[in-house]
Amino acid sequence: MDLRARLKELEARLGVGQRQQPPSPLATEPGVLPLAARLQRLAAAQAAKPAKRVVSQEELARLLGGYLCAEGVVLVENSLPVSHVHGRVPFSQIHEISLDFLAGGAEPNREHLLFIDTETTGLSGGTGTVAFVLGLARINGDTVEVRQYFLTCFAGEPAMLEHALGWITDTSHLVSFNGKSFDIPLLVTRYRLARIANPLSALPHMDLLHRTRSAFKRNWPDCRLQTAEQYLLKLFRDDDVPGHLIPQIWTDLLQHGETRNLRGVVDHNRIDILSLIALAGVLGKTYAEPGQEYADPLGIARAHRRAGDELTALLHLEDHGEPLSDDAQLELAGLYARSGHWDKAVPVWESLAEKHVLCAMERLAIYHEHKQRDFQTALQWTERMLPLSQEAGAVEKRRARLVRKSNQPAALSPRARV
Amino acid sequence: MRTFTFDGDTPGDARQAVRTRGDIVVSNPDMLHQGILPHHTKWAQFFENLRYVVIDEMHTYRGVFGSHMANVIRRLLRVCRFYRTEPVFIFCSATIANPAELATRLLGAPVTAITESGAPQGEKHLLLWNPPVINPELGLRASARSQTTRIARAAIKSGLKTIVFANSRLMVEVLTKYLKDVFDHDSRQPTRIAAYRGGYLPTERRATESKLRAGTLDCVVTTTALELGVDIGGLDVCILNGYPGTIAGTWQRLGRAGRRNRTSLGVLVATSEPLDQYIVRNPDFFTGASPEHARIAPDQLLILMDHVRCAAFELPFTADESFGGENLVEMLAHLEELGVVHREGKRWHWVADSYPASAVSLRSIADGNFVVVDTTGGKQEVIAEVDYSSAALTLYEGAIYLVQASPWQVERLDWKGRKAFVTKTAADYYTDAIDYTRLKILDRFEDTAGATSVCNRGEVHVVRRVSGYKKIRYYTHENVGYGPVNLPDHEMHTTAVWWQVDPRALQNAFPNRWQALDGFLGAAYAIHSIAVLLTMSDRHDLGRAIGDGEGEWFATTESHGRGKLQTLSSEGEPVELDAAKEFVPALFLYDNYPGGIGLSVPLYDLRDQVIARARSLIEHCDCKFGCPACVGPILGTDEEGERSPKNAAIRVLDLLGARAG
Repeated sequence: MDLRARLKELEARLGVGQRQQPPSPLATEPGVLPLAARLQRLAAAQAAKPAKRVVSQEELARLLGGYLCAEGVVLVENSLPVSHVHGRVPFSQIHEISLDFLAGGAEPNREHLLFIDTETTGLSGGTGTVAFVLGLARINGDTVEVRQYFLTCFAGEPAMLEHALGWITDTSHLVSFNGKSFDIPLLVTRYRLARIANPLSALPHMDLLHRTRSAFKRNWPDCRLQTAEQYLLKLFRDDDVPGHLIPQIWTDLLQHGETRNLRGVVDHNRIDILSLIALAGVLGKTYAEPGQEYADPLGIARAHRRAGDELTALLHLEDHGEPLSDDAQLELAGLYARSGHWDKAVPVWESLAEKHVLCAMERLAIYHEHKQRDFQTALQWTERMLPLSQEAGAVEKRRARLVRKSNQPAALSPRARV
Repeated sequence: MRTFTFDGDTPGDARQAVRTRGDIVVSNPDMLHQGILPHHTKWAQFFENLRYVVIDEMHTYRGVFGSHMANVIRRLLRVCRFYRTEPVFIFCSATIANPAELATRLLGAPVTAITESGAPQGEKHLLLWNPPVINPELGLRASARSQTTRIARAAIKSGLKTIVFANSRLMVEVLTKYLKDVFDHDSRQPTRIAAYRGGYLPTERRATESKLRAGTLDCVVTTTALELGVDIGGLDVCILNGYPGTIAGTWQRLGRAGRRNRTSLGVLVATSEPLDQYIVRNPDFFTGASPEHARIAPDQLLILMDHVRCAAFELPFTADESFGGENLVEMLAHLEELGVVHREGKRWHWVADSYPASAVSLRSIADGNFVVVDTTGGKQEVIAEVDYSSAALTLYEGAIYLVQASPWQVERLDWKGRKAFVTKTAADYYTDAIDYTRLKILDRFEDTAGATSVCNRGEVHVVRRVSGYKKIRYYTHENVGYGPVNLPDHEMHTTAVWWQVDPRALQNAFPNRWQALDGFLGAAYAIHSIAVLLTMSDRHDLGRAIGDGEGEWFATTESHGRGKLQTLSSEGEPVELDAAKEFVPALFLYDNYPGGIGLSVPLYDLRDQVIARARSLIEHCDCKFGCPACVGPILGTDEEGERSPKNAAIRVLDLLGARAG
């Protein structure tokens, strides 16, 4: 018995046929058919399978509008003027705003940014996932230059990685959407497998997904790139290839010589990269100037506070221009308190406490106990918390302490002597 | 030296440090399989400098688990070759009969065995304790539990630091309670007795460990959780409540007693299980060479294919490589046909949008495992996992499924979805599947003739059908009802060892065929126990059956203890033992996995030992006519001299064991 027959036999006994089905339209055997029936079906399927078409790499280059930059690699090059309007946002906006916050430091040179996005054989990561499209863009004077590498076979990968180093080594910052946890680790893996040294892991990285999340997640259904395009760039894609189909499109090329939709994959990748440029401009503005459309002042303020810039955080909350949510008001009052502006913090807390915001009551209790040493008022706030709090134990403890403190002269309390 | 642990509990932000800064990384096979190898580029620096791979507790890598492990090592070696390193492998094992052979099979390369220990050791006493017989007719003994408590009490009272091992978490709790009732009844005094087992909070466990090291506890009651790896210092007495299942495992536990140069005592308290009884009656297991052979079958086709997938994901295969004992190009061609790898010239690349390692469990063959879902009170909680081969026997609708001795009832079985839905019940009975196994001999690979018998090894076709179940009341063991089961037949090809007796010799040895059949059933029961011991397998890894080898009839033991003959079509109706036809019963032990997991070869090689030891198991059993510790449960009325199932089984074993010439 040959190996295939032996395996089919064993698998049939265990009923594991289903797991091993490829996601191909040709595989239609359900798991528990008798062996003979399964073999028959398989034979029928093979008979019906069209003979594999061999697509030459030159043909692929023509189809994709590029040229062969190396054996197995099609390079598609495009350039657009910086004045080009993507959706409703010109690329040039990136020159007009500050990117220092997104870059996490000094203002980066726009011409040293590398916009990067890949299309891969899967999302699971690990050494078995390949980036078969590597899209890069950079700004050069008045133009946006785009380079897209397309692998016509696995063998082209080392050449592609080598060629891409030309732009990568000229870079000060990477700009991506979710590249920190996906595209860049994947590329680093590919470079290691090809035994080619690369600077990717050491490069500063502006991952726009993270910044999009903190600024908009409270106001949007999700934070995918296409959602950001629709809200911020007013860009609506027509006839776009859905991302989840992309792995299969490349496998179909390799296995069946199927070229349908290949062009669509490259177009999809190009829009992704161009959107990064426009989005960087919009996000830069969102974090620099308060009151931008859809922006959530709380998320933005927190991001600034965590980056150590409490003043800008305060600015975004104060100048938001619309009523703030309870949480945003708490953040605002907290920022006032941290900068010693108790006179501004207390009224915010008091108005929130009137709305039964527990956290505000607690702040007031702490403020009156430790700042004002007004144990009576602190006790009042604590007692109002009691029926509302989930952690009755902690509140009770505070209450007991305050009762004790308010019954003894302030001069005798140990804290007062210190 | 920086040592790090890398396992499922290692937090994500600490992993980077482990990968790049660890001089020594301690991990486990599952992590290597699913976490490290498929991401080896993240470990590039580590692999480039890898010098030693230490595999501890090698004796646990046997059977299915060991066969997977050998393939994980093949993958590890492949990744090491990519980083151009050739690490030295060091295997450590408890005492088994074939350590060098097992290590060689695991590594796929010759090894040098070091079998002497240079560690200083105090005097060790080993006591094999068989609880006294309290009912000689039924061969009933006092419970191991009562004896264990008694010995532990005596030891603690004499001021000896004691560790007690039990085989279940429940038993740990019971024994702890009994000992605490004696020693910890005064709550003002510090605790002297503690329990330690899986399921306790880590902080609680750490506290117990440090008390043990400090010597402030007098006794700890535990499961395998304290068998290895945890530093608790040396103790004086180690008591095992029941045989742990392997002799290697027994030594492992006994090793917990004994401080440098101090005399220590180990006590193995036997339960009434056949293996326990056999072990305590044969002290040579502990004084002589180990009889336990750990075997693996790394080229078991399903296991091998699983790892070819994983390996293809990790690095593309090239035409000049090999992987295991099968033709790699053929295996890759199969995967190409399935569309998961793509061939380009002389290289095969993983191309599927999936992560194959996550679909492969190192503890089973293929992913046919069933999960047991507790739906009591509307919840949906997985409480157990059952492998495919035993699902039909334990998870049919109506079955009582026991977890930690508490009963759940199977309400619904989703065979295709591999799920059994259960609810908590208070039934006073348990259920026992009525199953029929029919074997047909397909091919004979080798055979050896004795004076009155032939022992064979070959390929068989097994059909197993569960047709119903019995409800059996606890304690009285009376049959309180039946239920039907409607499940697909379980069919497989596997390898087996079988014995057949010369028909004339059989006719001369027994007055009639029924008694001969009873003899075969009793002998099979004992042989099964011994085979499990010698091959270090679990009882369900090996199947046993009596039949004619043509698939025409087979025999089962009825609940009243007497054999009956059946055919698959007779569905439980007994078949007449036709006097005219030749009567050649065969006794089968088969490898209970499709394709086999390599148990039939060692069994065949050890055939003389299997028969001799099975005979001695029965002969030296203290019961009069047969009992669950030797030939299996028997019927009360069988307890008469002439029809003694014990004698019948010994007679069959004598026929099987008689040497030619």
